Amino acid sequence: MATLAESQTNTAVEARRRAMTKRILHKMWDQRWLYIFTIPGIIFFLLFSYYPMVGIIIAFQDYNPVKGYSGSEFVGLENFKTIFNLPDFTNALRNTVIISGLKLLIGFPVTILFALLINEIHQTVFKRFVQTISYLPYFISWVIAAGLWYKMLSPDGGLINEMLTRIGFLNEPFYFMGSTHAFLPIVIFTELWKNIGFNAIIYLAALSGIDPHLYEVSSIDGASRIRQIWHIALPGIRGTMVLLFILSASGLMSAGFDQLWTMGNLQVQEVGQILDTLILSYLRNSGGFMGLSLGATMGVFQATVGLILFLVCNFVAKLIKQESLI
Amino acid sequence: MQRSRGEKWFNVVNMLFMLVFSFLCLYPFIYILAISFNDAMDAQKGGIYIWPRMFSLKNYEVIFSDQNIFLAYGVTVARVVVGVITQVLLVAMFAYVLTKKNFPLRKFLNWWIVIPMFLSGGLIPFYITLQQLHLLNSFWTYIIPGLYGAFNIMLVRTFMTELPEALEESAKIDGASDARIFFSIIFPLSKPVLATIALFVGVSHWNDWFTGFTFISNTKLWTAQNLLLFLIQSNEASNLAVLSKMHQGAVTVTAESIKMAMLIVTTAPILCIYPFLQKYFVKGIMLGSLKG
Repeated sequence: MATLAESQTNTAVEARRRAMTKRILHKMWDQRWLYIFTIPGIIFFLLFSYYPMVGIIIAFQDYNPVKGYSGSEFVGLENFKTIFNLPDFTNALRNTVIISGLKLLIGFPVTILFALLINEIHQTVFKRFVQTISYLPYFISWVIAAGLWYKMLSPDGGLINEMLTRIGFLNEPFYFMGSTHAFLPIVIFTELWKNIGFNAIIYLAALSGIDPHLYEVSSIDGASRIRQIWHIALPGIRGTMVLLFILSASGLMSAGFDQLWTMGNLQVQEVGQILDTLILSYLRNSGGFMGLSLGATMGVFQATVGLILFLVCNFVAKLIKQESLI
Repeated sequence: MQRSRGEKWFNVVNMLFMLVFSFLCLYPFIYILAISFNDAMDAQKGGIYIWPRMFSLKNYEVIFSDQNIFLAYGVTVARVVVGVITQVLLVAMFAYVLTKKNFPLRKFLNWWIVIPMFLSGGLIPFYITLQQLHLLNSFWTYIIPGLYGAFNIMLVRTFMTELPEALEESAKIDGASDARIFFSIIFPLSKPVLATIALFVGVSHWNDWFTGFTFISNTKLWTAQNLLLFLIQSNEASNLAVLSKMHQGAVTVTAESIKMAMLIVTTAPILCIYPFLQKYFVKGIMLGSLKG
């Protein structure tokens, strides 16, 4: 009897399990297209995003391309010690922080100012005109932007030199792009030139969300335009400002690779070499095996600091957001 | 309402400032354009600001008499077309699956694409990966590693989530498969957002010089941007022999004038579609930033 009951429940369990498997398989068959749609994506990210993460291991190896990841000798933190003793690296690290720090400190307020001023234009056609023109440089590559400004600033008949010599400001043409003093201001200026219009869009969106009644009421009270900007517009975009500041502060380790590679040159390497350009030059020039490991080590350092900055900034953003909500 | 004098001044100064700024954004293009259409020897004397003084098409003749430019242009166009079509299709398919609440892999797939936005192996491990996959130095280097964009997937997903569910349900009752629903309902309905990402992807393919520069050493596979970068970064005119050798007769071009013409040739397509482009881009950045 007992065995009979047991076998009965056994078959019942078995049948239920079989039914469930059948149901799952049936559902999978039902959703077969969804699986098919995502398989290329799963493989893609595995190959081009996750597998390269495995490659970080070479930062801890004396990597030899012939032997590969598994055959190369493990050296622990040796590469990290080496890069910190490389003047090239410490110099590039310093430049990275200086350039992206300056871009943030100057670009951030200037972009806000630009958005506020655009917002103050009430002639719709003119406003649209200015905006459309100001986005234009954003859509060209840095190769083109660098080419334009190289020519504008060129000592052989570039416009700026021509103007400055004509008005007597310069006696002879000045090689702006080759000057370590002029390079940094040029980098900041061209960055603003290229991106300010486009970066202002988010602020303009926030500004358009401010209740127009506030402006009306304040103008009845006799507030000037400047006061309106100060007391209505600026507080209205405070949240956006804080968020964007924090997010761009987390990008301290990347100072604008495309720009600095296309505008940089040997004469200004001392001030223009950043981590990204240094890593690329390690990849391109050092045929030696050691170069790949050292370059990867610099990359790991850069990415780690970048990730930490991002996490900290994200945390701060959350704190501030909560605070302003209370 | 009355306008005070201060307010009028504010308006005037503001508009003047904006005019100056707009001029600054536009002027470098005009300057280069004028020089590129001017006789090279004459241009060396300087003084050309807005309009060519001695109109000449020589610079463009030299550029277009060289095969390299056609090759580079062909590679660029092929890459933009193939890159845009494949990415739009794959991204739309992936995003469509992410909107299926009853799909068991949905959560996993979300994380699968988000994690690489914050972690990456860096340039050198990526290079080694391409090397191991035998993807260096072929046309597919431009396409395959750029098939998906995580940001684009999220943008399209957001759009698709907002489509009315009833459409899909009724098609399902009629016996349509998921593939059928995707291709004949969801994909056509998502046209606005797909057009936006097609522009994003197209422009980034057009503007990208890094891939060709870093992963491709065969100059026959160079894009127009790579050719331009080569011209701009090589300061000696001797490198230009590559281009001007093809041109018989007396030398009537200079390194500078060729560079300027090449700049224009590389920029022109972007400038031509720009008016159409920027509206979509602005929409795209709003969509992305507000939802992100």
